[in-house]
Amino acid sequence: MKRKYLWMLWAGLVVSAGCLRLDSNLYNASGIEAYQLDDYQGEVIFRLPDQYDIPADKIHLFTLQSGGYTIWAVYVGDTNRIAADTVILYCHGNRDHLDHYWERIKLLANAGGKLRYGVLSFDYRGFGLSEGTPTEEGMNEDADAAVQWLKQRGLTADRLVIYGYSLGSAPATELTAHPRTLKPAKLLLESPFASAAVMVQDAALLAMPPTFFTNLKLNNADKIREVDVPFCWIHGREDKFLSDSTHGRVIYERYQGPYKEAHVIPGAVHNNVPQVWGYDAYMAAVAAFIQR
Amino acid sequence: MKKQWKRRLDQRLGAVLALLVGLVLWRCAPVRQVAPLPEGSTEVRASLGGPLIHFAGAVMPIPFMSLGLDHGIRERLTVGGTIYPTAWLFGAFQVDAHALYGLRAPGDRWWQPGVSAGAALNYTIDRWEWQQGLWPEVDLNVWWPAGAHAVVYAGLSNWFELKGRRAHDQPQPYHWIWNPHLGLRWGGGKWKYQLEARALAPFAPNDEVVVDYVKPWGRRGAAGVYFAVFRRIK
Repeated sequence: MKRKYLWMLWAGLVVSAGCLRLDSNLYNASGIEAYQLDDYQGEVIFRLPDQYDIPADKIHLFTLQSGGYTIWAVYVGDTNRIAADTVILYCHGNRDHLDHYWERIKLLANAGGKLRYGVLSFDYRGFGLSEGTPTEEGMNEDADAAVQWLKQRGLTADRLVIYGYSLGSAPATELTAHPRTLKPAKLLLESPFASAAVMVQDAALLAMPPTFFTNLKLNNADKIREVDVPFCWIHGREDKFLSDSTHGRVIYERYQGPYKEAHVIPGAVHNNVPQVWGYDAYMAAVAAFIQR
Repeated sequence: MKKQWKRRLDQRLGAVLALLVGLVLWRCAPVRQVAPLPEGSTEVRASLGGPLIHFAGAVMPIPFMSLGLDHGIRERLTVGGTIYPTAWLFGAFQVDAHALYGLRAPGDRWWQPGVSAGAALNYTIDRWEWQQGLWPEVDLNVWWPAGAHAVVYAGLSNWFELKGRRAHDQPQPYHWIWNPHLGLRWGGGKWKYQLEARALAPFAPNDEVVVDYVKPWGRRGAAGVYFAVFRRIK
């Protein structure tokens, strides 16, 4: 009888082995019934003064098809001028949905002057109204679907700039290192993470393999070595979540492309760099990098 | 309050990642014997506990589990091993092998405590990519009898990271992770119980760890509470 229970215990352990993984915790998506943008009353990190408002006729909410899913996107600018404009593709972080990042999108749409650049952002599958479940490859596919949408409207590679914030640094770096539809002309990363391995090791203090807890392959620190377009790194000096020294700086130092610049902002944490830096200074730096 | 707690976690990337990664190894190191077992005797133990966190308006330890077996092979020497079911749930098979040596028995005075030293090897391998890790550990304990069936003890658990480099060939910042502890062991006959409080890595900044730990020492370290049951089987 004892042996029977031991076998049952052993079988239970074998069956349950690996039933917990932390991969899905990377995504902090939440669903909504409708996008509200300026009317969004949920939690945001900062709200811009009225001077940054975007005229309603320059805000375009639409859907894309990506990997069999319908995902939602917003384009800020004149869709008829995509064939001539420079466009920033903004890959947002892991929080909520587009509404949460709307203030940031507006800020970019004011960089270099109001509507100087078109800005396209989108909800990864599983975020906001986008269908599906977030995955690492799904984020890349969704970002590339957005690039395809731009290409169909006449955007060329030399006018595509990718901006990745936090989680969004993964698809931004991937599509720059390994372009699928268009090769971006420039890459900006704000508060990026180096890799799943660094996240694990920062938390554990030990140099342990990330595979003990996650199957995520996120690895901006290695992929940045394959990026050969100009690169701008922005990070909060006081970022206690993704440390500028163990995450962002590792990426920055491993970049081997033609031009790089860094903006490490004193007093800023993970999610408030534009606010602490100052909106004007932030927008000026972004515009200067794009224009150089 | 619960919603607020959840939001705090949700606000940050990979919150649970950090939570569990930080615990499954050295932070959930089991409660072990502090005094050698009598020669020839064997005990099994189950240890439950972890760092204290704020949850739903209350303070509670995260319940991580280990199961172990200890055997007194000499009068002063006890050896044993431990498995970690919590790690196994993640597909990481974590075990340790350890030995405890009694350096001296307690004297009649309070300033003459029993002293013991332990050494352990902690090994983990995952079933996904067969990545491995090995971490040596050295423990030091002093203990005092408290009545006929109880022991009060204090000590220092020390984990060592032998690798000089970590991911992306960056320097490994920590090589010695020390955790002071204070505990009480009681019980007679076949069953014994042990309650232990630990200061977890009190040297390490805790504001880069996303979990809402109880932080009695400000911006460094965390506090943990552990409970173990021992049963003599031989």
